[in-house]
Amino acid sequence: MTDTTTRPSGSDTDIKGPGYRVWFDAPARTVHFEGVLRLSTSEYKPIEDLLDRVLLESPALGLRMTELQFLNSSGINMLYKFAIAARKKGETEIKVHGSSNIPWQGKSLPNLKKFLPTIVIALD
Amino acid sequence: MLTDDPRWQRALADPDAAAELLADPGARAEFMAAVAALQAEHDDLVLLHDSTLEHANEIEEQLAVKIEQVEALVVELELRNTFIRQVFGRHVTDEVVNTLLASPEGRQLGGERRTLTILISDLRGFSTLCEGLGPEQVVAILNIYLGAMADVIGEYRGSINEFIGDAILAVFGAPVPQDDHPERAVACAIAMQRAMGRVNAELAEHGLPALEMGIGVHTGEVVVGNIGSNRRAKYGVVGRHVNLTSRIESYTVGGQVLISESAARALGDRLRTRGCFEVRPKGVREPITIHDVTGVDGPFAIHMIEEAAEWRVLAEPQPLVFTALEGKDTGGQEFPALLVAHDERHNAELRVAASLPLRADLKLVLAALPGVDAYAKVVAAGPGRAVVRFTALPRALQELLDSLPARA
Repeated sequence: MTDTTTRPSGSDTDIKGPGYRVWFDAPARTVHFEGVLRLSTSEYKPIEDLLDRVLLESPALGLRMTELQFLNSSGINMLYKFAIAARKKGETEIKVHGSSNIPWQGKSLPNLKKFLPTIVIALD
Repeated sequence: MLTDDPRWQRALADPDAAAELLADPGARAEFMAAVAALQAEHDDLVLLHDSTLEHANEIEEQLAVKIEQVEALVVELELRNTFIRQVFGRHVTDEVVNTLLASPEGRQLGGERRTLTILISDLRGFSTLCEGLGPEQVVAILNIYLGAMADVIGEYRGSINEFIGDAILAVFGAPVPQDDHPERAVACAIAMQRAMGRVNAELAEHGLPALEMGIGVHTGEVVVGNIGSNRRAKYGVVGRHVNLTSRIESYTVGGQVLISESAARALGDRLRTRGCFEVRPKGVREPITIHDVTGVDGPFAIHMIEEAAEWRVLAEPQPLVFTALEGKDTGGQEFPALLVAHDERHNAELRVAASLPLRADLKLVLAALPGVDAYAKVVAAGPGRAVVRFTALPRALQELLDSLPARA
């Protein structure tokens, strides 16, 4: 089994751990989520900080989830909270790219709109 | 925040203070805004809770489906493994099957060079014995014999590579590596010879004839692996050392275990023998030394049951002619001889004109039984005299010898 207690490595904009990677492609202004994310709530802090930081730089942001096979409840909770924060901030242009081939994405990503009505959800 | 403000805390605790505070229009507007903010935050939290739960339910749903799939796969895998064990497990131990199933490389084709100990056993005169028997009887004999031998080989953690008719090819040291493979193989060979007593007792119960077996053991480098095609592959051994083992086995008489120099060296001073001799097998350039094993000491200690059989000297020596065989080709010159004595262990003493080379294979035909071919190997030789061990003793000859009067 994957050891989720292992500390993530990499830089502030490239967070890697066993079985996952979350990184920011600055020129494309896109955060890529890859692999299997099954961290505990507190372990999502570096990812939360990354999202807050890049949104602070500019209101336009892409979130690419097409390579994210699994996201646990703490992970989706973190994303929804980010959407609430973005709504409170106002004036954001956030677009999420997901994959309909990954069953949970088709159900859970559209719910982001409930928290942030301006968010754009694109499922391949 | 609303609840942090001491004015509102006082108002919450005291209804009079609350009435006084809400009477102030500015404070009331401030209160209403704070309540609206709390309400909005509450709505967000409820939504967050519900949406997160929805996600969790979705994941759990998928998990349930996956569990069902895994359970179905486990059932299928069990069926496959049972099948493999049934088919494959007849020839090798469960330990070997489990090791192969556990390692993915075990299922791939391909080979590797390894030093192993090879054991080949063969029944003496089985073809001759079969001639007088029906097919059901032949299969019954083989099943009793091969079943007993497979059990012994399994006990010594050998792996039966092949049953070739009445012959068994087993290897020690593969697929599961064993440091002590030469010792296991030689001890196993002795145990197999000892088990022949039980086999023959069981055959006798079924009214079937007794068997005699010879075993050759040799240690050498061979290629082992899954040989064949993806459709049909078997774990096998190939190489000249396999052939050499077969040659060593061909020098045995019933009840004997012959081993090569390399196997003997591996056992060192734990090996007990009657001695050794040199042979020059066909297709082998240098003569090789063969040891006639009687036992093994040490952790696998086991010894042959030595049976001393008494000679039965015939009242009237039986004239016969014999031919020395080169391999299995029987085109040699005929020589006369007299059969003067025999014992229960299928030995016979011959009077011959010339001396015979030790371990020569002979075809014998008694004058009293023309057309009945017997085969024997010279086990002792002296001037004018030779002791032969029958390697194929036709029933008619056995019956004749038993019926002839012995010298008083």
